[in-house]
Amino acid sequence: MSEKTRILVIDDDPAICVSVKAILEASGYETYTALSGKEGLELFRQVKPDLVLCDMMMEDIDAGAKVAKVIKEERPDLPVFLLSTIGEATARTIGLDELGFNGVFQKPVNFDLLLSVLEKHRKKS
Amino acid sequence: MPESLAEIFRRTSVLTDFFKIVLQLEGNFPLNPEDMEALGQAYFDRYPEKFVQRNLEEVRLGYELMRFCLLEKALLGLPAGVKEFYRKAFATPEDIPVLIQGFLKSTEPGQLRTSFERLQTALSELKNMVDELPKGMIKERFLGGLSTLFNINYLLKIFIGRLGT
Repeated sequence: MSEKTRILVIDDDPAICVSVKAILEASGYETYTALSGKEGLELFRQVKPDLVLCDMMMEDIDAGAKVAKVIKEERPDLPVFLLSTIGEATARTIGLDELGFNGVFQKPVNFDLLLSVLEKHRKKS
Repeated sequence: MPESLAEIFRRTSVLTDFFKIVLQLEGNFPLNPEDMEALGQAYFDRYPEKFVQRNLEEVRLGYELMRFCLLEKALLGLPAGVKEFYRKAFATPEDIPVLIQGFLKSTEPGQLRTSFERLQTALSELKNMVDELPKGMIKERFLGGLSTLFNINYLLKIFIGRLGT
């Protein structure tokens, strides 16, 4: 049996974590969730995910950027995507690259799009 | 004129009391962008936003509050049994496959699909209204609440789609 692709979801809203996990698991991904940036970094080191989806505003307004920075220092090639309500226009101006994000999915998330992006990162059997 | 959600929120100090009152309204309350702003303001008057070391419990209460009100509005007009199915599905998304099987013991798959289409339309209309809100923390809480509803809606779509024709 092939190993499943591991996704780490970091969001301060438990309802978002539970619902995203349910969708990703129904789509064949092994999913882990964390409710704060601090907890997210602990889980990142523990489960060694293949991709991270991270909210921006958690315990601090820029907690997501802090998480992405640490992840990129430890694993520069790991894809980290921002899940956010910041809006398309703001996303274009804040310099996602410099903050350590590979891209952004606006909330409410378009899961057809998100799953098509995740598919590109799925481990081959 | 019916009491607004903001007025109900301001006179109920305990959130569970607010939920009980709103549940009894069965979605018969106004929820246009002005009502959303008024409810958001009432929430932030009680739980002011902090930008450093935020109180995550209070932030989560905000998402829960908005999610609850948006869902009740989206379910307006659906039969009681159908509403109950969706309330349970949105409360425990991990149980959706089991809930669907239970629901289909008393309902035809066609009726489930029809009610689901109606729910999708109602959620889209509510999203259009949330999009109209000015940028800021009130909009952020509504978008947070709406996001979960859209996520679970997508999950329902997956499992209803697997029922076949």
